[in-house]
Amino acid sequence: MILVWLIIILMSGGILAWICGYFLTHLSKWIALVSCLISLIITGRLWFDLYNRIDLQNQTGWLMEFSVPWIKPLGITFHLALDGLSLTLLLLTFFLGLAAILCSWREITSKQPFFYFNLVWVLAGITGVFLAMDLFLFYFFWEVMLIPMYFMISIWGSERRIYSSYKFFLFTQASGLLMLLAIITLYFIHAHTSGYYTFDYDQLLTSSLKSNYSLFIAIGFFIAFTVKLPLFPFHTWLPDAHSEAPTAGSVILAGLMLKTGAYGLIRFVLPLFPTEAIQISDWALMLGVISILYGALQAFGQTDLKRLIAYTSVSHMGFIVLGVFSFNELALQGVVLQMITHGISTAALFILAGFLKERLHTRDINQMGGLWSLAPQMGSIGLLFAMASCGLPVLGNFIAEFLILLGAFQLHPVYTSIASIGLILSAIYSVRMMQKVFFGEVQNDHVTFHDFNSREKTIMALLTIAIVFVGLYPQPFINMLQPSIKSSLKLQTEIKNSNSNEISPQKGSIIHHK
Amino acid sequence: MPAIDLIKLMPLIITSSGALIIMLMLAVRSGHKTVEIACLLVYSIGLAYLSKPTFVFEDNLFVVDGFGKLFMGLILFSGLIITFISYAYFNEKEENPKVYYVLLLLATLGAQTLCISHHFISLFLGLEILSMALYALIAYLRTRNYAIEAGMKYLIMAAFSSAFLLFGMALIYSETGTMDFAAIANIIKLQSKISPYLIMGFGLLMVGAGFKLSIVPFHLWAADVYQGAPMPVTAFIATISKGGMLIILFRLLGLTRLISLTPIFTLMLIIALASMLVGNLLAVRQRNLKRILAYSSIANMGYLMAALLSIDEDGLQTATLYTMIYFVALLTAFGVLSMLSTKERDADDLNDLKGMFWQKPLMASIMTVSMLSLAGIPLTAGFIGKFYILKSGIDTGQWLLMFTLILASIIGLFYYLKIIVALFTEAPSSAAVPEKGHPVYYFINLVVMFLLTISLVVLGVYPQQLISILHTILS
Repeated sequence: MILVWLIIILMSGGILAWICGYFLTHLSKWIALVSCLISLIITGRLWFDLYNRIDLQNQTGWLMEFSVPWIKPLGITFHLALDGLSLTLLLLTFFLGLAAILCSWREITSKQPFFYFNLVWVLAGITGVFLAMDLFLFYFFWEVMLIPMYFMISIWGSERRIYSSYKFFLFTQASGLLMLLAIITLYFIHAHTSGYYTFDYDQLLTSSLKSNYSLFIAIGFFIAFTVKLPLFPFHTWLPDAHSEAPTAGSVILAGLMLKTGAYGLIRFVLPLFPTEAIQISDWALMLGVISILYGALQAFGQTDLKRLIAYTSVSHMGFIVLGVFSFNELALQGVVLQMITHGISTAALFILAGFLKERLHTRDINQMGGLWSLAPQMGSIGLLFAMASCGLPVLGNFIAEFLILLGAFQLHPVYTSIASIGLILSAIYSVRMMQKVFFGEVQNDHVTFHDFNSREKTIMALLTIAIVFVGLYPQPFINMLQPSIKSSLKLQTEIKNSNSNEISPQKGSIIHHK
Repeated sequence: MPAIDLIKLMPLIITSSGALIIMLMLAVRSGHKTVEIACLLVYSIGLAYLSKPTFVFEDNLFVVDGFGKLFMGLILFSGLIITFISYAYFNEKEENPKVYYVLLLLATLGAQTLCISHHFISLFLGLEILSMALYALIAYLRTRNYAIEAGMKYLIMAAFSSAFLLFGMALIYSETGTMDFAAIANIIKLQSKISPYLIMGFGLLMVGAGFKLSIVPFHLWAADVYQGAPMPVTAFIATISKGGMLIILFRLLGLTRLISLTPIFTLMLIIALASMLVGNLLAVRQRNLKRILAYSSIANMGYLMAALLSIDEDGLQTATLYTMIYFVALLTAFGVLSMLSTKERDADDLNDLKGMFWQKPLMASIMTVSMLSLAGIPLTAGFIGKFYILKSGIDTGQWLLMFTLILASIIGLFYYLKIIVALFTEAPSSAAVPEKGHPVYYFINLVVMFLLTISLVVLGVYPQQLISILHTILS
């Protein structure tokens, strides 16, 4: 029931923020903040309660579950469930949600009530996506998170907001409809083989889906998730949407919404379509590697700060695809850690870009420069997160990318070697960004530039602590994720074992300490 | 027909006597308000009568079954809503607004007749009653720029299509020797090879039906007539007039399973594919809201044909569900637009909606929900409708149709989003908001539209109730 409450709190918080905002404008942001904080506290408590119940060796189903029938004639249930993966991502969702609300505190001055309504409803949609274990419900939430996001971009975005919001909506909607088609096909194939109509994840998982269509269904899901991720040929919506969105929008897009794509791959594509996933893995790996290099090269060429950060996301998401389609426990651990750390570091960079824009009214890095001497605190935080983004040890991203590369190398040495060039490129674009923004000549018109105020310091401190914590002590997350990842990979390992006996299921020894 | 059976046709009698009574009321010079309330009463009595359970009644010309009653209810309900929005709209105009209600009731009578006919004669009878009233309704505000043009266009096209329809019927009759839908289907199914006359007959029949539904390639009148007609009449054409023809198709091709015969299937498939794509593509570049809705209705009729094509055990359920949801969303949109219309002109330009969200948040939210529902986005009922069409399409393996539907929906998003964007952009420092002539009616309309919107959202989140009701009625 507590899972339903998470969604109810957010949704009613959003409506309350909207309505109360008409009477007292400033109330809306407080209501949004409080509802997000309550959700964060609930999730945090859940984490501590459930941490000891994680069973490292065996997969024992969901940690928490809630299920009531929803549309009975079609076999649709309102089925929410929680496991280590969902819990970790929920924690990230509310943490970044908090950061997003705090960073819009001063930035959004017009139409505040509706803004906070949208912001909180995006979070509610994302929460639903991470919890839904009924495919219909999953699609439902998948779309619910889109519309508020569309409004956020199209109303509070910068100059080219209409174009970007159109592009964002059409890309995601098109891929979503493809997924819907795949879901319904899956539903009927399951019904024809088992005689039982259901959209329930657990039920669909148990059936052995062998059909001529299953490869197409798998591809449908794959495309839907990789558009969201985004993978190389489908990435074009991302730079536009990220750069035109208001700061909170970029934070949620990059920090959370991209992660729903990765989550979908781990939760649905791998377990539901084990053989098909192996069939498409070559293409996926290739596109992943292309994304890594292409994103990094594009990032190097950008002059718009937010676009630059957006392209680094494309590059980092390439690592996720590489990790997922290596079908390897280590790599998959790395993937989820990458989701968390990339969420934190990119969010921090976008917030920083937002602060710069608030002060300088531009995103063009050619018009910045020499800001370190004016704002040393901002500069050092910028340096920290630029280094995080290029994978410096001590910071979380290092652990994540290292695990992905380590895991992927065992099976695909060539792809992995090429992918690791991406690390070098990431160093290049990070250093260039730092150079252009914080070093070099001071521009004359920036004399009144002021450093962080206390609210901004709070946001940055929280994000810094988080990224360093994950970098130094990722073990709690690894323990928490272990069972979910094992169950995601269960079928792949079975297939691989039956195919070739010499490859034993890889288990990194560092995983088992607790 | 024995006199006692007349009582079975009570819904038709209520509407037609309602029209007569209002005509008499006009003779004693009743006020506009009285006439409108009388019209509302007629619709309400009709609806109340329909909600009573009755046995299935079958006659040579008519069949009063659950399916027909459901559609009749839908039509009367749409008529009720249209009457609501008509008062404030027509009261400001120069023309005498009272005759309008007589015509409205007569047109509704025609559509009602279509709902329960399963015979060519009653089909033609209903169609002509409907068309006759519509000619006058479309050109009702005759001093307006496009009114006469639209009326003439509709008159000529409808007359032509009636001729085609009649010829089609004649051909089918000459081949089968009957005009009863079920009997025709039985005879055709017995034939090992379908004769070319029959195919031609059905083709010509589809010209007539296709004209009424404005499906491609008989869609050319739609945009002009929508634009020229007064806003409530546009709503009437979009809902009631099309609803009447839809149920005829469902009866003639769906219930009898004639649709599964290859020639008819191919014909309908081409029409469905073309309607979905052409309708949506034509709407993309439009800036006139009535024209956008006209083209979107072409596309939506295409979706409905897709539902008809993928008919199975509960195929009609899909089509009926989609029709209901589509009507509610359309009525909401037209309701908002007619509330925005002024004495001089209809609010049919995209600019009329600019910045509405920041000035009239409630009305703009209603419009947004209705557009999202038309676009088929979750949380609104439109999604459930589209989901059902996809479901039955995939179940029967209509891959081409389903992929086209998805493509068409994506194209459709362009213009629905365009309307939503207009609602949310900054207002171009609009002039003083015109005085509301009828604050009470304005409020009532707003409440009605709000209730419709709520029903769209509730059906989108919790459709089970409606689905099970439909299931019991249709099976």
